[in-house]
Amino acid sequence: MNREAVLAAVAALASLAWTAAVAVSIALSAAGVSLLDPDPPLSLTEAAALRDQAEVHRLVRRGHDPNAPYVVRRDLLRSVPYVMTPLEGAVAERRVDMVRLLVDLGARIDDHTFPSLWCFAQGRHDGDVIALIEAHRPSATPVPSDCTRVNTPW
Amino acid sequence: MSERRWRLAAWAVAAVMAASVSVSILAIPVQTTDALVPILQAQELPSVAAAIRASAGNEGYFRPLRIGQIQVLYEAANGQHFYAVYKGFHVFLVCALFACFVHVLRVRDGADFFAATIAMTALTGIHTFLGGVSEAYPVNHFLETSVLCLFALALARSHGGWWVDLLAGLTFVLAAGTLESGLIVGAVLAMAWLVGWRGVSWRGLLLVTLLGGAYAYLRFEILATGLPTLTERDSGFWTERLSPAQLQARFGKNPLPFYAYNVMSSLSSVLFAEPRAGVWAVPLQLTSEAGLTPGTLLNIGSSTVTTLLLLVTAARRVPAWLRLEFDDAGRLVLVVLAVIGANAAISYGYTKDEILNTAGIFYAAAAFAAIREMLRSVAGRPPYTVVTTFGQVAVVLVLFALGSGWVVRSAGLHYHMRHIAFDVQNEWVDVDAWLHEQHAEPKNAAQRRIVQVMRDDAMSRQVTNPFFFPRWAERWFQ
Repeated sequence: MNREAVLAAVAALASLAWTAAVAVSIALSAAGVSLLDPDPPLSLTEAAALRDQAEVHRLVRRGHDPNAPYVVRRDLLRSVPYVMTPLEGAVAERRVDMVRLLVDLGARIDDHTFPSLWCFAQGRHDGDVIALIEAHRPSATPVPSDCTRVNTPW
Repeated sequence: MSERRWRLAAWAVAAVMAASVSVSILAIPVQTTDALVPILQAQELPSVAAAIRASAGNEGYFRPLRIGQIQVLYEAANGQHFYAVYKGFHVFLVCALFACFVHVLRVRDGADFFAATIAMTALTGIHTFLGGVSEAYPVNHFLETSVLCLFALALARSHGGWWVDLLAGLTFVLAAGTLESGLIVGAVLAMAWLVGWRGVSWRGLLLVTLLGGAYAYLRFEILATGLPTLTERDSGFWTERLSPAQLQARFGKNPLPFYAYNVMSSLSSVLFAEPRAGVWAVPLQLTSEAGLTPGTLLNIGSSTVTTLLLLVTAARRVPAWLRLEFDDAGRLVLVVLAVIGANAAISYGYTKDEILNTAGIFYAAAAFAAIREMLRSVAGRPPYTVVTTFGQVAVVLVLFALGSGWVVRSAGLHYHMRHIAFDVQNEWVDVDAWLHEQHAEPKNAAQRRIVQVMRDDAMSRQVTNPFFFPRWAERWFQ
């Protein structure tokens, strides 16, 4: 290569490197190794917390129980891992649409879960989520008068 | 290396770029917004001819061939293969775009190849490119008209012949009948002819001119479609988005200042990456808590340096142009300036990044000419001669920094497309409610089945949750 081509190659080095990286990435993708799309599996609660409605749908269809507690990895909600239900995950991230979807998919707001969810939502200060949970309050279950006595995820 | 090998290397880079964009396109499900409703409408029409006839009289717009294409693809999908057909056509357009792009650059040597590599990074990195590949309506007519404009340029640079003239006419008809921006094909052919690229002869140009007249007569006299009004949609103005009612209140009596703003902001958007869709990000970000993002600075910096190189390339040719003498680089720059001007003018009604897709793609072609000239200068070749080592290092460093900026922007394209894939898939979860809001519920069993097939397809695709994207990406990829 002559001097002109070497200088030009240096000038275009970033673009050349990018092209090479893209080519390698496509080749690896074809081989089943995806660099551009890291997609570690989500638990149902993680999907709920991350507004991943499609993944929530898929997991419930595959038989995951929308009322069961699941692990939430550290740094997703807070710096430590948690075990909580999908509804709690949705409330933690103040996602009213997700609460609605989970209820549609069979998540229960009953006399057992209502106090915890309601108090947790109070702590998250989201009026829409609180209103939705209240709308599903079992008629015989009172609104807690003191949330300090109710167990919530945090 | 021989000329042939440099050319092949450029085609290889184009193939990699096209493949990467195609992979990102295929990662996005067919979207609900702007795609599902036209597909449902296609189900109600008996034939392609009926679709074209039905759309010809739409008020404010004249896009019969766009509707015709949606119908052709709908029928090809055979009630089942919507993703394969519509995405397949989108990928075809991307491949055609890169093929036309690398063809019109005419790579011959090392400087050409390396300049083309940076230019292709700019092509995928410029913000106006995203709208051409991230969405489909369900056919991305913005990208399609850009491909046709590049094809017209390729025809103008060909050896000519009666069939080239005929193809030029057909290209114009297809482009103008698909989208208003397709009229830019006429600007490409006219400017190319004026500067001496006569692959399309005066007869071909006359044919296109007559077709342009027929278009105007058909649209404004026979069909009386008129032009879009201020009440059509939201539009950006300075640092805010104005609703149709606000636009009417502010500019209803005299829309000319608003139209002038749109044209000027379109020009500025292509050349300097600001504003975006008529809204200026810099004053907004400066007054926000987070401050100016590195992504905005990078966009403005890379575009401004590229534009400066382009202006230098143009300025040093002005004396020759005044003598009506044109070299290939000068011709390319003039055609590109004409396209950018025409695209900005067509955006008078409202401006957004997608509409400027063609201008952005041609801008990348002009970047090729400007960067090549700089690369040649470091070897002491005309028109400049950078003979000192310091000067050569400085030029190489500037171009390296410029290329790096465009690489980040090009990576941002894929970041945004993956974000869109996530959003689109989630839109499908509640598609019934969305269709209800749009007053577009399925009217029969066949339409319900279309929604079900497309929903199942969209939901089955594996898309990455943005949580797993790096945290810095949002500030860098603007």
